[in-house]
Amino acid sequence: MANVTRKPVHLEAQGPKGDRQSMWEAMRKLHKAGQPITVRKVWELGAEWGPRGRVRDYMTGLEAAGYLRVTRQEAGKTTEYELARDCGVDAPRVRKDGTEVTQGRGREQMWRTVKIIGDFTSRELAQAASTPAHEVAEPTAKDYCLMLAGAGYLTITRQGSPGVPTRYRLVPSRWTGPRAPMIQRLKQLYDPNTGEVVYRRHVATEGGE
Amino acid sequence: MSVNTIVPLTNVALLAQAVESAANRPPELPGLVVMYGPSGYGKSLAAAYAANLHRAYYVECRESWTKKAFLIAILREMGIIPMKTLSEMVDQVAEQLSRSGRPIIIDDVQYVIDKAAANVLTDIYNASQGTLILIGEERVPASMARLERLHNRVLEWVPAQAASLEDVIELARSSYPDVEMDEDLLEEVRTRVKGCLRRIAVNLYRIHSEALNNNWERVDLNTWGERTIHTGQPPARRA
Repeated sequence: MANVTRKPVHLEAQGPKGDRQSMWEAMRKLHKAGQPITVRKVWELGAEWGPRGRVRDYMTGLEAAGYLRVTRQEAGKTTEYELARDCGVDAPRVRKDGTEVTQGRGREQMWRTVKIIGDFTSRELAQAASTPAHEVAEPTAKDYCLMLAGAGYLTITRQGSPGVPTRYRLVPSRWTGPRAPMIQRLKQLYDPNTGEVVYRRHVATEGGE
Repeated sequence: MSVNTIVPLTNVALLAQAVESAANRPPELPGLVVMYGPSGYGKSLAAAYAANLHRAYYVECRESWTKKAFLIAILREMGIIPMKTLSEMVDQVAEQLSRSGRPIIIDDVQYVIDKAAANVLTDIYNASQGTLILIGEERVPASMARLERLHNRVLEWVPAQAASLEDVIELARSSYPDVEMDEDLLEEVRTRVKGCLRRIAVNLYRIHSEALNNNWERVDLNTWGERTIHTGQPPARRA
């Protein structure tokens, strides 16, 4: 229940970047310019759409995880940070306590695998995309294939029938970028690379409720 | 509920080990890993597993690639907007590799290794000192011998192995758990296709559909009888 207030990603106002991403980019920008990193500056540069508390939480997490280091902390003055570990363009996914967010790793692995293995059934995808740390269950892969195919990211190379699983293949021109499209709770597919909802599955209850 | 176990195919394990040791090497050692072997040996499956283990970047080369196309493809995979010149792009790639510490897998490297685009590899490696995994056909090591600066930075050469009987058994069990395929039939398939994993998969699929059609729960060499095994050879013309 803790998650009910969470807005669907595509409704967040910051465009296709994702909040961590734009905050992280702001910090790197400040770092490159040789300026101290503060909550206020990051908020102004990369998070004006949201509450400043979210910037503070993220920066607290980054500090706990060792990405940021405090350079000035005095009563009555703004706390200043510097970038202690710059891990490149992708924003570290950390919680406020500094632990890594691993939710979405299975999806990330499927999206990567789809590009590598040519044509596949959902079962083969689940197997090829699994690692000891993050296993991908077959039903998860099946759902993901259905949604990706619905959005035109995958083509069907062999139609399934009872007992014979459908075979899919990535349409190379539809590979929009490294971030994995995600299935949202409304049963629609959101592509974080373009910031668009690319597919909606029609549910039988439409018109009801 | 199905619980997936990672199919422990020989080549998957071989590459995973090599990438593991390259990713954790002491800084004075070189960081190139080269896997080579005929097509259809399951190199891509091995690449997928290694890529997922280490969140590696993955690029598949094309015959038509120039240096620029090569670099743009890598940057696209990283989600970085390319700058204008080639050397700026090399810097972008190298910076991202060394900062993120993530390896990059370059598949079908035989398409670029004999061309000018191969120099991009050397540049990226020198500028990043990252972990590069090259995957390609049998002739790749020979082609690389000409690129001395790259050749002597190889930490491990990994020749892809033909499928073992264990590989075939594992593949049959994980792909078609509903039909029991006997070892003698699987061994026959394996030797007839000379251990080529892709053709083994084709044959397992045919065996499975035939078994479903005939309501077999178990297939061995006898049950299969005179039915053919797909070897990729066109059938001989009959008089």
